Amino acid sequence: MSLASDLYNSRSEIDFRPIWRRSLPLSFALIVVGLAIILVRPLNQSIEFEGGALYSVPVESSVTVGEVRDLLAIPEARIQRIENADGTIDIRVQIPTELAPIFDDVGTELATIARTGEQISRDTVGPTWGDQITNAAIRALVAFFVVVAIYLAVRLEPKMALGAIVAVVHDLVITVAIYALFGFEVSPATIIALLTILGYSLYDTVVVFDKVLENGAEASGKRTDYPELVNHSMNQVLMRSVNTTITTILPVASMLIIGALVLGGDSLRGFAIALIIGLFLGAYSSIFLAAPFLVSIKERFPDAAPAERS
Amino acid sequence: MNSQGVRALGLVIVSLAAFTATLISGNQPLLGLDLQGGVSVVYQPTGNDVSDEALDEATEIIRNRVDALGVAEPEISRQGQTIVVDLPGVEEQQRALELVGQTAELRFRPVLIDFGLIDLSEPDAETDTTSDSGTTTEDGLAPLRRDRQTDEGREPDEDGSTTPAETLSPLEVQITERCLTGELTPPEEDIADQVVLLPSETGSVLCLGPTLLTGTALESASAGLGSSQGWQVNPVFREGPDGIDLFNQAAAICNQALEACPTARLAIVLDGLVQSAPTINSSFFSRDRIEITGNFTPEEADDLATALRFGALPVELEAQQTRTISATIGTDVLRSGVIAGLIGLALVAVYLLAYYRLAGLVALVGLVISAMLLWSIISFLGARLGLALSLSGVVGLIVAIGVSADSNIVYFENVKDAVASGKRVATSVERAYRNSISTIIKADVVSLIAAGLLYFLTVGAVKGFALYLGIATILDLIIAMVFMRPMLLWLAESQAVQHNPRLLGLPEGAVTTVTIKKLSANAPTRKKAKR
Repeated sequence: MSLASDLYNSRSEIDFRPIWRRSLPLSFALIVVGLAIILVRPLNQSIEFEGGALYSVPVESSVTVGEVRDLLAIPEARIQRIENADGTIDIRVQIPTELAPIFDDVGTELATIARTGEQISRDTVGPTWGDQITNAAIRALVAFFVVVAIYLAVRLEPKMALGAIVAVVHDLVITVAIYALFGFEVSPATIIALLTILGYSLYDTVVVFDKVLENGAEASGKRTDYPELVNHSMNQVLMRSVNTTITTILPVASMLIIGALVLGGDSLRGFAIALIIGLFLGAYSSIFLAAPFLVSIKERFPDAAPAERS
Repeated sequence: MNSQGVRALGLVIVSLAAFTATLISGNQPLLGLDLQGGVSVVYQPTGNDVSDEALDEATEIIRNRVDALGVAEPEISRQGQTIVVDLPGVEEQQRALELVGQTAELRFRPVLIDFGLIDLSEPDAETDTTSDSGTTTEDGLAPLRRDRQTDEGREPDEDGSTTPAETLSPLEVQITERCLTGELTPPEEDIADQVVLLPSETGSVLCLGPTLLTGTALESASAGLGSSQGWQVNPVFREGPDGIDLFNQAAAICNQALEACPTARLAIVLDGLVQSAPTINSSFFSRDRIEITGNFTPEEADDLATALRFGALPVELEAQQTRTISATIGTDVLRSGVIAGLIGLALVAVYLLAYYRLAGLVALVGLVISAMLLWSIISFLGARLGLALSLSGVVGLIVAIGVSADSNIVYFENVKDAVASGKRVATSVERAYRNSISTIIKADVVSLIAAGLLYFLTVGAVKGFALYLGIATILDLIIAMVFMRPMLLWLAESQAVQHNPRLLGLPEGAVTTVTIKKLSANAPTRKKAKR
């Protein structure tokens, strides 16, 4: 039978072990490279993190950036001209937080160039706010790791909890590194997407490890080779991983495409890019990082007695 | 039908009923600002160590202000050390923001006239007395009327000058202009040194004179059970000229029932709302020996003490983040969000049906149940708690489609494994359930931990995302536990599947009714020689 049909009928016997011998070091190398990129290239943070004011003005297509710059006469202003998918033009103006006293005046001036019947949108953010929400997110993240590690250690095995956390860290670091590398804007939407990735990645890994436990319990009493056990379990859940990733990516991809087509923009895309990157990484890391990592720590630090918790 | 089937059917009926009830009642999800346009502000107190109580009071004050503005469906919530105010589709956004963000001041104003519980269209001085002073007061307009009758017009005002040209004193002119019009003073005209017409907590309407002192003269306040008169409130004023001396000056004016305080009552006003208007029965008080009495319930006494404490140290709020979203952008985002969600759902449906055939149908019906329940819950939250569905919430829901489909996939794959190992289809459906549900619970609990921590530790958009992700995850768990197995079992036992297992996405050779002993090519413990 062909591989596709084997996969469909859960009869595949792909030997992952040779792949794992390469993918494990590769994944760790990726984490290191990712961290290096994040350190070297600062993230392109959205106004929510930087502070200041951001105006979005729907204008006639004849309006140019130069005209707006002359109108405002504020050297610090960052002015962008954005063409939406439906052909309309938005002017985006961002002003640093030091100019807070003139935020209102700028709004009034920009309103004069807006297309008739359109409102301008304005965001203002205090200078310390970004740090505060970043701190809140980091606190939540740390608490999450601690609680989830404890939960997984109890429900699965401590070594599995470690493997799952390593896989999640891998996914997060690489996603953030991609944002840093390509200069994608990091907004609160991105943070939400990152947190979602966290959930997906863990979900994937939990499914794999749960299968390993289940098969381990069935094989208890017999002499089993742990890598073989994990390899076999991996084959069993492979189609599940593939199908889950496909069913999750379908709605997110439609969000990315529709968001980009209808809006040319922002809000939805902020979520979708990070989600798609993270979903692929989550599927990859549960198969090619979490599983071999578990095998390798089991080999290096064998259990005193076979753990049979459930 | 067995008990599982009954429960599954029960779930279908409950979700249909909830959905129908929601449609009939006309409840709809309340849309967040980013989906319908409006202003969103995150306020934070300046200075550290603002007590929870003070922040709650500040939140309450903002809520009252927004209600007074008449904004439909505002969302005001305290989140940690911040207060988030969402005003959808506000017309005059700047005015709204200025009003909402002002620091609330506690003011002591003399009561000029107590109109009692009146219909504002016809201010009638003959109506009865106040309800919260505890002591009866005379007809509020009487002194005013006496003055007019004597027709002297020589009541000394603050400068000591007279107004011979007019028959009314300046204060009386102000009363006529600002109180006898029968309109409550709007918030922007509630100025400290002017006469105002304000409502009280109990619903009566009072005409109040210029502010005599503010909350900053206070040091603290407490509520307690007094020796004789039941629950009472004890304010403590600061020492010196900015504290108790100011209060005693006011007390002297009121105790003598001078023109500036004809009713002898001093109203305690917090942010345009009269908290209490006790009669002053002495012209000299020591700063920590003041009792406000009068048939208080414990809650009323507590509320008054809280208001006084807040006034002593008003919370100054600073807008940390202000977002103005135009209605056009909001609608665009909503439209693309909905379109994206529907297309995504359709793609998932096609994929599941193509891959799992009839079993995919189980997943789809599960999704539909989940959707109906979600719509009902979100509408309910919007209608009852004013909780809006924001863009981040929509994303949480789109994400939940994937999570929900995943639970089904985990199950179906386990069924396939069991079938592949030679078990009967119906047996496999049962066996696989035990393994799958344990996996699904573990995975969903991880999602719930994430949702819970995010909800409690973060602010704003992330919180909304966490809430809806959490709700959707719980629904997924319920559907996986109640609905998935009986429905699949029912399909597995149907005639069509018995004849053709491929309908369930199972291999051709799957054993349906008869158990054939067959060595599995894929037994879990089989050892392979290659290494």
